[in-house]
Amino acid sequence: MLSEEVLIQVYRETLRPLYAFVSRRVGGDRGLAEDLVQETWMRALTAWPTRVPDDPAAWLTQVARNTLISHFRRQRPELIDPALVEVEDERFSPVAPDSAVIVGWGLAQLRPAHADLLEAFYFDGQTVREIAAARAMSERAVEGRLRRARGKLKKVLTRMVRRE
Amino acid sequence: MREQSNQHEPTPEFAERLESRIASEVRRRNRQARAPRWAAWSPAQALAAVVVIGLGSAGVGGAAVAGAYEAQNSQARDQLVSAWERRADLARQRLEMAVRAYESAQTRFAVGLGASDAVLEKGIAVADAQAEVDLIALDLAEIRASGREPRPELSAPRVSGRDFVGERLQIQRSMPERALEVVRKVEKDVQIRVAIGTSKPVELEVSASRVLDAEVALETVQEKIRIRERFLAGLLDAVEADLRGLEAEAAQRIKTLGPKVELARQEVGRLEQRRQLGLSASVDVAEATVHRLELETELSKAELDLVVIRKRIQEHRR
Repeated sequence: MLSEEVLIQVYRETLRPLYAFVSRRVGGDRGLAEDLVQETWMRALTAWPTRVPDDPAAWLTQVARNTLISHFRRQRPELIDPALVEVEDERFSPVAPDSAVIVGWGLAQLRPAHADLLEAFYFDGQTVREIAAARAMSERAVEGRLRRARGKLKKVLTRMVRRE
Repeated sequence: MREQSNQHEPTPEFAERLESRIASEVRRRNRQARAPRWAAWSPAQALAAVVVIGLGSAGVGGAAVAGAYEAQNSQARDQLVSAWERRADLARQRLEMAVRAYESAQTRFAVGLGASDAVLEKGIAVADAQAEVDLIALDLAEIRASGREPRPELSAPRVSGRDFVGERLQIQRSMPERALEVVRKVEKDVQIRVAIGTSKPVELEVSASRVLDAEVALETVQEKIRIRERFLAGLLDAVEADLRGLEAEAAQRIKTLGPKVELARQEVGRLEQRRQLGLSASVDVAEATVHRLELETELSKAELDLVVIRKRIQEHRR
């Protein structure tokens, strides 16, 4: 049986980073972030019938990522305003709920390699230097990949604008 | 790192609410896990235990707290039940309309005014509407047993020993089974009509594509039933069971979209030839091309999804 005390301890330790992870990806939309965090925890309870995994924070983050992808694949943004998503502009940052939802939806359509890089840059607030250090790459290589990933994201979003 | 805003902090109300929900969920699951021991007791032992627990609770005033908690749960359950009952009413109305349309098609066919295809199609609509009514009835039973919304995912737990997910899949299986029976009959009719020259060969391909759709839909539900069985047997964990379900759906989309893309390509070629002969307008060719491009995009997306899901499965297994 799962110990309630252990689980609540894990919950208290992981809630803030997990919530921040989800909230940044939905542009701070509280209702949506709370729903997705709750869904993540309900999945955790189902997947942990007798014991908590060794690295629960990593587990929860991965499930939250999958939950976000599933959410964005189910929920197509109703309207894309191209002005909100100037992703090729290096100063662009999806801090507002509208642009975060659009970028989140676009990332769910991209290859994981591109999506992971853009996620780190847009939502985890990592600089090019930090991304390069975490992936053992040169800053120049990261810049190139970021540029290509932004181009792919732009294409996905442009296609969707055309389909509106 | 760039500056983080406190808009990404959970509110204390949400943190408390979720903590309380997690705690009660764990207690509920642990109670369920303990339940089999009770089953092994004799009726006298069980009765004695119930009396002891009842007296103990009354003694510490716990009964009042439990009553308030129960009332709150019961209110949430009633709201859900009422919402699903409205859905059930709508589904029953749709079923009645489908039955009337089927009877009308039968009458028209009997007096020589309608085609046999139409009767078969309306028959599928009746079967689908009936399945919808059955699925909602199952949802209602799950809500009444669990007090929460129905959980359709392959990794959802049994509720009071009942496998609602498995039962739902059995109903879903009946839909493509019935559709397959009908589209095969239609395909045979089309073959005859094409052979005697009253239908175009392209209709044969359209009807073959519908047979394939139904076959693949049936395979997918059967695959989901197998995944569910493996999950319940403990051979798959929850994450892998859900990923395997998504894998089956992505594979289904690929199998059904392939022939549709091919048909759309042929249609563009056919319209282009007609346009050159002055028998079709450019706008028809453009529309067919857009349709083909949309299908190709959907196919690429499904292929990509499949790769991503399989990668996730591999990562999860590591």
